[in-house]
Amino acid sequence: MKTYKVMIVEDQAIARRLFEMIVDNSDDFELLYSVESASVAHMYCDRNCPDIILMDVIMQDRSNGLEAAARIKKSHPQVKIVITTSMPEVSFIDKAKSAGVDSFWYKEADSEEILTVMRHTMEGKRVYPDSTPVVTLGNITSTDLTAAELDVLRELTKGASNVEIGDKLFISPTTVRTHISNMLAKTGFANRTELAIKARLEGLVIPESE
Amino acid sequence: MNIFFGTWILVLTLAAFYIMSDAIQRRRTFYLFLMFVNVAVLYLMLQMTVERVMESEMPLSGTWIFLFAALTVIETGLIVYLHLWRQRHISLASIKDGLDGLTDGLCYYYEDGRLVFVNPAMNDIAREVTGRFATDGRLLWDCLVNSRAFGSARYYDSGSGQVLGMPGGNIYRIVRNRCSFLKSPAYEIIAYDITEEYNLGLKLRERNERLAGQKKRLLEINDTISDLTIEKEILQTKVNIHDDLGKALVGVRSYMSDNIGKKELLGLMNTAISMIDAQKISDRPDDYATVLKAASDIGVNVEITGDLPEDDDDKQLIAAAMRECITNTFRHAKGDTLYIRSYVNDNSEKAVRFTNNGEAPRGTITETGGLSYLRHLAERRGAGMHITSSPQFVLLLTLPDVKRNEYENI
Repeated sequence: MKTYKVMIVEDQAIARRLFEMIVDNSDDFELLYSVESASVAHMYCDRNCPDIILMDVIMQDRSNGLEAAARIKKSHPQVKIVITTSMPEVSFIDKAKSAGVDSFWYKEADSEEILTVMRHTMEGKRVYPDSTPVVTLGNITSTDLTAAELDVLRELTKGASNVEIGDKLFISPTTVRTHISNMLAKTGFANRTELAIKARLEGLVIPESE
Repeated sequence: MNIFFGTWILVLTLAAFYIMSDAIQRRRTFYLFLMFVNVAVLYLMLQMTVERVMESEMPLSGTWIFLFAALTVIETGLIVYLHLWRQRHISLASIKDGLDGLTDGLCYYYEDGRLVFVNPAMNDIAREVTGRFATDGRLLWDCLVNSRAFGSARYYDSGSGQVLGMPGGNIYRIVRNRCSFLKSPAYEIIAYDITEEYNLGLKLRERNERLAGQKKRLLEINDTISDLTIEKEILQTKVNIHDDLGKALVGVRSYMSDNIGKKELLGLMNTAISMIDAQKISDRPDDYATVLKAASDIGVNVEITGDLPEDDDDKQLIAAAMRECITNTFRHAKGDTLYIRSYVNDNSEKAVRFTNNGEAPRGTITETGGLSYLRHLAERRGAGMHITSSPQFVLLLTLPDVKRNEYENI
């Protein structure tokens, strides 16, 4: 039976050990590397390329699994990558698809076992969830916010002004103000700071590191 | 007859008044001449008429009456014309009134300092700066340009022009321009009243500082939330481990009751123990440690001379450079050792030099992919990056002295 070489990229030791054990206990996968930062993932691939990578998104050292995945896909397109995350950040799925990531798995929310996802991925299937986990934000759920509002909210969590948000998203500051007003009206939060903090706490939006 | 002559005197007086004031306003010699001629002719005519009438006691002839009538028409026409002209044009007096009423200060003076014009606002400034009203333009400008103040006025730093703050709260921006007056070279000093703009600028600065503080706190909250989220995940995983431990304990009982086999029990125990072991590992890797471990894993030695920077921003840059150079060492240079030297260069700058024991590059290195990203990081940090490919690959980073201030003052 063919065994596939696995690289695990996960900053938390417990989660990393869990993945290691899952891989060790399987018959069709073997552990090649287990690293704690996405920043060095490409180095391992350049040296000895795995067949499949389990890649977390947000690392403690601020490295980004999606960026690392895009880089690896560029130089090693044959490698299968499965993004694993517990963050309900709505843009991760789109970014993963843009980066060429093969599969996407929510650690807490997905009922499907990770091994099943890995096997499907090695068979050439792309396994993506139908939607992001729904989180509550004030009086609404995350599905009640539009894509444009989420983009503005993401920049808002960085403490950006309306002008800075407008410059980043190529919209006018007036439009930014309108989106923020709409979100405040929907969620019932008192001000933009409260909105930003609550959204960040729920993991609904995660600002990109600069 | 008295009414006739009385009217004549009135017309004469009015005409003389208008012609004279017009001459003064327009500063035309012609009008002065016209005024004298006008008055002289009319006086003579009047004199002759009076003598003639007094001597002969005869009514005036038709010719005289025609002459007087014609002159009356001319004089009246002149009065009307001049009156209308005055209504349509600004007089010198009104210009002066307007300038005196300005909140901005104005001063015109010749090159030798003789004043041409000073308005009250500038005189107030002169009193604060020189101790008396403006008498010499050069003295006034000398005091302004050298930030001298007699009273309690104070000067502010400004990018363009001198900014003066008066005791009453008014703020002026002082500039001087060259001009000419009556074809002689002169200067104009203008003190623009920028009180409102300055105060608004102060409020804006305070607001921006407050916002910068809020932004900083929000970013700190972001970091805290990131840590909290990670802790939340770890806690959830520990809860799962707790469940696994529970399963293992139940498994022991089941084993003892012959409900499960030894292999199954060992599996459950192994899982539980492994998870407990994993909790001991630190979850906070150091940037350098992560890269050095990766280098070791892929078979590249790293020899470091000197102390690598510990500042967070510098560390991020140096770690990124280490990653690129390690990759370059085995991928392109076919080497197995990366040499890193950290030192202070001749310009007292912190420098970090990377090279390897592999083959030298063939030709000039093109910065793409990782090196391009590294250059972006270096420029953002304000660091210098220099790559040489002959006789061997060398990457040199020079780090800035002062940390770039993320929250600039307005």
